[in-house]
Amino acid sequence: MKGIPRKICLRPHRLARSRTPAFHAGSRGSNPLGDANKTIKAQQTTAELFLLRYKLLDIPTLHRDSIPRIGAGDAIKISKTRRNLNRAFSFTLYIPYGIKHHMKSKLIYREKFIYSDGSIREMVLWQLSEKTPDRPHQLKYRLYYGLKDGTCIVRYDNETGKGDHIHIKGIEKTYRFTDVETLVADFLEDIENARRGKI
Amino acid sequence: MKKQIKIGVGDATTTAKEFIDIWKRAESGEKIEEKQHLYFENLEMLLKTLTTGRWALLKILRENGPMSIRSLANELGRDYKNVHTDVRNLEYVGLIDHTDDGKIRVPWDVVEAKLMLAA
Repeated sequence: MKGIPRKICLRPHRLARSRTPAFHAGSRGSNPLGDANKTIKAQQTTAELFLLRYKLLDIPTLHRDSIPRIGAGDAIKISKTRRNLNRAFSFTLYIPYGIKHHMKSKLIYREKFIYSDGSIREMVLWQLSEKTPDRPHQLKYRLYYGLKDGTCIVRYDNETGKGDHIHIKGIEKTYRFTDVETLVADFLEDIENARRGKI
Repeated sequence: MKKQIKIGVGDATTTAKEFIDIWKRAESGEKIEEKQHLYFENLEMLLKTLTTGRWALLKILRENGPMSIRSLANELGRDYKNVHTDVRNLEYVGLIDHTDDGKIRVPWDVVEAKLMLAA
């Protein structure tokens, strides 16, 4: 009997949890865990380096806000502008990729609404640290409606770089944002249509 | 600060108004503390999701901190399969989440439930 497994498992292999996580549980989209902190840290480091530089050069210290912002892939060369000191103080700081568009965002609102058939609506709002042309309101949102099995039916969001857009049953379209009332009304209407089987 | 979630029953349109309200306040530059809500379409759905057994589960899990479903089942003296089902359901509504090492935990300190008998 050697070589034959003692117990042959006939039932399907049961995973500890299903492969599709229930409603993006734990998913941070394009804001991976700790990314915001990385950006801040990088910015703080640059800030400190700039301050150090000015201190060494005996230039009056600039205000923290006037220190240039940095992004991913930037190599910041910090060197002396004065020739005689050039060799004494020069180094480069590399900012890793992956933090390019991730400014600091703070969750301010998350609402889950459970329908009696088990489908779920989620409305999430983050406040951003800076205004950008595509997000002048300094807010990031995600509006989601999906079935109990995790299928996404409707999603509205304004992810960086993409602007306001919607996903309806897997099809992506741009969305012309006017105001928050219209946004919510459009979202609710899509849900209603989906629930009546019109989408 | 204590992490708090509010649970209630409401209709789809009224509950969505809070999002608009928070948005407007944030847009006007007001500093806003994080708010988390969980609504059910009706009381039946709420009671179906939050049974006494599941409430006990949440309490034990909150007291013990992150743990595996198996050790939670042992702690409760209940069958693994049933505890697993309960955990999956509570995870779905966001009352339980996962830690990076695959354990489950309750991310809340306070769960506040508001039920209205009359509007």
